[in-house]
Amino acid sequence: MPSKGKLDLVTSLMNQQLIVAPPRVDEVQIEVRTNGFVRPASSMTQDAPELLGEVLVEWTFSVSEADYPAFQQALQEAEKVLGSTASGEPADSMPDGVRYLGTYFVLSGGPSGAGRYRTLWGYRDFAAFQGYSDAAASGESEFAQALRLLTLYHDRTSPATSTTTAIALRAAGLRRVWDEPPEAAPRKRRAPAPRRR
Amino acid sequence: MVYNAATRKLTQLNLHAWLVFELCSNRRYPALEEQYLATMTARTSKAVARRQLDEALHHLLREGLVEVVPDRKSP
Repeated sequence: MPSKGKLDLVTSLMNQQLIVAPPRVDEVQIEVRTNGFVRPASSMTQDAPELLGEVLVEWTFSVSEADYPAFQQALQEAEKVLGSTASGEPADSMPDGVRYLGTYFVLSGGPSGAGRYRTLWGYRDFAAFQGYSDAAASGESEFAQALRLLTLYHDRTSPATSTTTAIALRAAGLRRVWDEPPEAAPRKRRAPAPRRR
Repeated sequence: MVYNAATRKLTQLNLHAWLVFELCSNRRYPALEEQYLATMTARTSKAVARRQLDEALHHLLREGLVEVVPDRKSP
């Protein structure tokens, strides 16, 4: 079926052109750059609140320059359990509803006097907070050990501030954060792109 | 930008090619040409416009964005 709206639009745009360039049809070369690991597509990519979690927690901290290599090594070990885009899926020992979102170095900006490192966590809901605390306190669990590795090189003697910030996804509403996790909404299906004939 | 789900290719059309692409929708060639010339001949000659139409159709066909559907014959 002719799409009159689009035809009107393109005709109108053409009429506004002083000079009309010859027609061009160019294939766009799609380049995908990854670090060699692609997280499998899951509901997390289709349901925004689940992408990061409805509550995010950010650790701000410093690492002494002398400890950089050891910190890097510890991070790589910890992330084998916690999961990250660099090292893959989290281990089964991760508490339910908790996502380790990575440890980052601040390249520019940010509050003055703050530590240059950030670790981000995503929590599905309040129950996930509880699960995190319980798992962290469980001494010899794989998760607790990974947490210890993760924080081993936090420099608590640095004059740079270390903070923990929790932020909640406002659109989800706080009630939802504190309640039981909601039923997953049915996914919308996209109609296939129409093919011209 | 046009995404062709069959070939999984993304194609960029300039305004001129986009016009031809839109005109291709369920039109027979004479109607397509007539409407295209009506838009273009205010700014260029019919001969140039026809050549550009052929060029655009060639590109669109090559990329699989349009296809020629044979006329239905009466039984």
